Amino acid sequence: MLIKLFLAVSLSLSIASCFAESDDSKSKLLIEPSQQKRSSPDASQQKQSAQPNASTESTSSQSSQDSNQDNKPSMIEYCRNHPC
Amino acid sequence: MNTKILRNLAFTIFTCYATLAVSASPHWSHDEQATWWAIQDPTQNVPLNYPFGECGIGKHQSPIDLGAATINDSKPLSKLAALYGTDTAPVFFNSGHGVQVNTSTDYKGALMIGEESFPLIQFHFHEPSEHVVKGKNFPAELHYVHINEDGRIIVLAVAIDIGDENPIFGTILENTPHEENGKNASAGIQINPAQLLPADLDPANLDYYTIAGSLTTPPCSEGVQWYLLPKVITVSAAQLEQLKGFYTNNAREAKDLNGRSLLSSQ
Repeated sequence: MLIKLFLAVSLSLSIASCFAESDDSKSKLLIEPSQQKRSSPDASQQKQSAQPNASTESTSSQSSQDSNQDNKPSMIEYCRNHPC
Repeated sequence: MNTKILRNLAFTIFTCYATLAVSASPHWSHDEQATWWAIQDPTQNVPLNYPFGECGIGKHQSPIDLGAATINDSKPLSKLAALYGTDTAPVFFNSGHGVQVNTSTDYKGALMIGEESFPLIQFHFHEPSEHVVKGKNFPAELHYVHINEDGRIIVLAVAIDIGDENPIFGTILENTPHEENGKNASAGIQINPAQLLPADLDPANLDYYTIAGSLTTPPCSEGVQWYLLPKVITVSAAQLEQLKGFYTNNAREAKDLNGRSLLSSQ
């Protein structure tokens, strides 16, 4: 009886470990989907305004991108104040 | 009471001075470019006390001698498109080292490399050119500086020769302050950076040479991808003299290729 119980437990653990290993064999994501941010309005507006015709004129837009200014690389600010 | 006020005032003045000393970059000039790497910032500890060290130890420095480079035209390269619209509020800037135009913060103009878009941040001029051909400079050189949101820096370089005057160049020279670090943001002048591109090129499909390099001024940061147009633009001799009235010899000398090749889209 005890032997049967022992064999049943061992078999259960073996099956459980096999499933665990198969899960581990999958590559983990570098960044979880929940951490990924959607593209900013800046990028989508750039794509929309980037026309093949180079003579297309763009005008100053409203300050909708102001909220994104703080996320800009610091090199942008550096290159606005230095020759780069 | 007066003692307390004086003490607080002294502390405030000291703090402001200390902050300024820490935040200001060390002074540099093109005359001392051979020793940029050795310029020290005494306010910093090792290794930040040599903020321009990359100028001396970097192996992928810019500019280069195009005549000394191997040109590889066998690799398929991405399409290059300069999609610069009109900027309605550019800032004319005397950087202390050159004449520069900063695009407005909401400017949409960008350089498209394949499907990627690199926003145009500023463009500026060097006299004479920085890139040379077999040791020979052009009279001047224009650099369009682009920075993507992931931090990548792309510079589009255009050589400038003497010939017909360029109206946009003239407008820039007329509106750039002569004092160092002067900014003119209220000129009310619109600028289309595309009007400084060679007229006989299709800006939506540019032929180019490309090479990995660096900023040509301190801190000489590497990881900059250079795109050089094979055709030149012209400015008049008088305009060149006007540019030299701001800064002359603000060009860095050509650096070793260290095995780099020029890739060509042609």
